[in-house]
Amino acid sequence: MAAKQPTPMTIAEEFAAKVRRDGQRERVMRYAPMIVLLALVLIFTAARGAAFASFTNMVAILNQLAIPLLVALGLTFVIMIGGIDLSINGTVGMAAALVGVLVMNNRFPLNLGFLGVLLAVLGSVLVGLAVGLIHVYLKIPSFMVSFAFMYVCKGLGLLSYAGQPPKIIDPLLVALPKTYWLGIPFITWVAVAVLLVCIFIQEYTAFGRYIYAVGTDETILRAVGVSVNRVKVMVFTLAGLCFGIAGVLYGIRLGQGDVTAGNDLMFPAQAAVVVGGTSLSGGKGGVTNTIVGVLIMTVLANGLLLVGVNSYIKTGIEGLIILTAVALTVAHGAKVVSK
Amino acid sequence: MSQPTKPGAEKGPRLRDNLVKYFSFSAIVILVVGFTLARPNFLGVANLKTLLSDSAPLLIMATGMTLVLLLGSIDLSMGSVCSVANVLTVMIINELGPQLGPPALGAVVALLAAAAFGAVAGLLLGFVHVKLKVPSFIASLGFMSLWQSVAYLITAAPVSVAKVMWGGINWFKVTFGVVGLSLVLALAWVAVAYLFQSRTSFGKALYAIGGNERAARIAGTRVDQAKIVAFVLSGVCAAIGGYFLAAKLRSSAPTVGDPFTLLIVASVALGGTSLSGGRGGVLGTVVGAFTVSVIQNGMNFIKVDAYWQSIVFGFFVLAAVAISVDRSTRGLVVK
Repeated sequence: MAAKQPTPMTIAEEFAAKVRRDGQRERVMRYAPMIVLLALVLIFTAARGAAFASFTNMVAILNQLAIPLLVALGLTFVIMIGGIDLSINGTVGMAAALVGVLVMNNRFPLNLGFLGVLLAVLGSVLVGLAVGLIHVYLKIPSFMVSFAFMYVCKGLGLLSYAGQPPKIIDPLLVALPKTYWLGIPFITWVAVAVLLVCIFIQEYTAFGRYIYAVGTDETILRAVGVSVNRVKVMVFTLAGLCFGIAGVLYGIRLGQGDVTAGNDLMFPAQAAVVVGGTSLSGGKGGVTNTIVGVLIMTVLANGLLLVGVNSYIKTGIEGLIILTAVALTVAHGAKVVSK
Repeated sequence: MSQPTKPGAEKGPRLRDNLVKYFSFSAIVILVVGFTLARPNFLGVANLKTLLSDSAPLLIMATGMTLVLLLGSIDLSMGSVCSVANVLTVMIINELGPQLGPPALGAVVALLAAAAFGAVAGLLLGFVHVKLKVPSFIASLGFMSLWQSVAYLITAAPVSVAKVMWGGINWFKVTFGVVGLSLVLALAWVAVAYLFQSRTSFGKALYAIGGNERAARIAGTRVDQAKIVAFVLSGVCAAIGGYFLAAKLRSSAPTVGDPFTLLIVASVALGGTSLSGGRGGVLGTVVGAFTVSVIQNGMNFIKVDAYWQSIVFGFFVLAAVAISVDRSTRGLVVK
């Protein structure tokens, strides 16, 4: 009977079936990160029992979560517009170095206090702005611009303290990492605050809508009369802000301004964003996805450490996760041209 | 009925091509003159020797990257492939070398092992990029972190080549006048790559794919195969670069290749190979690699802080890419 259907019906049916299939696939993709997270928690609880599932370790995870979350939040918006930011190692490291130099420390006479903290963040914001402007106006792919800026920022960071990292001795900043509120570390609260701001930007502002639109198809947005270039520059600047806050907090937590602070943040952040389900081609995913992604990466890192896996293997696993997650979410088919 | 050529349309690209072509040449001349004025013995025999032999590893690696960049792809994992090859080389020379007898034999085995590793690394990257359609920069980024951890797993701390085995790697210090054997070998390698690029169908395919992949595919070019071969060659080049570094430093370090990724991109971009693919070539890269080497050597020579170097090279890459990038299409979407 189905074979005798008039053609328009068949097309409509085919279309409906396709929509259903896509919907199904989308649902699976939406819940996949949650399932992975749950599986990880179960595996590590089974492997290490109380050591993993204890209250102390939960607080530790929240503590470890803060800085990767900040970095991943900034990166999320960049990936949502279809770009990428590889400058993380440098921008985060530079902010960490600058905060050490600018506040009360054992090597330099500067003692700018809170202003120093702000200036250190501002440094990263400016780098984000520069990345955005160069990317947009010189039409250089974002990965290349940010990759070059990773080296520039690392150099600037090292230059700022001329080789030997300064120790932070400002009493307020020394006490900060040990400050808790409701049992949760202060640094995590900062990350939560930034997270709420990011959710607000994404969900309740026109800018947030534009981010999705740029990632989906920027030519439409351009035709409608929105300045795509401005949206892009703002996204990279916002990313710079997140990286700056992350770097400053990292420096404060380390107790010294050290440019190497950023070194092991880039791969987990990239992995967190793509594992969370934000597509590299842009337009899909968002901040809430990234929360799950960061939880996955943090629980994984924490669990692997508890199980006693060599820490060098961690980087390799992150690489594999990036490859797998991207390979699963990227567009396939004969017509796709990937460069 | 031929279309009359508009003078304006001709001028743009030609001006840019010339700018790209002479940018590196003039940069070298200006830099050499500048450094010589700052320190007269910059062009002395001793420093010239260092400069020329130090440029060999970079030259080899940049040659490999050129092939990949011609496709419009990129391989960010070259630095860490180089690191793995480096630690692998020294491990084999130290562990296996003494049992094999003459030091030279150990060195050859190490070279083969390093090259084989590079080929496998390139094959994996090529496969993931071509068959799974993962963009090359993100695929190579994933492999970059993977190989970094492999390098650390092989040797976490720098290891020196045992003194008894120095015979196998002393060739790096052999010089004819100011030109070192290492540079001769590197240039020979470039010559082979040049023949490959200009005389074989593989080379033509690279340009065709970089220019317009869809058209190349329709025209019957074996796109996937050519791409994978290019990545295998870039892996081998990275590995041989790591081998040269082991011979040069007489030691290994799991992070030795890290700074090279940027230098390689800088060399290729300064050599006029466009990041968007299809334009440029291996010979330009030679000039680019020498420019990078002159800057690096010169900055060391006039005792500029090492911290400045990554800043300078970061901006050099941006400038070089900005000059050579393709902006001819209006409303081009750059991600």
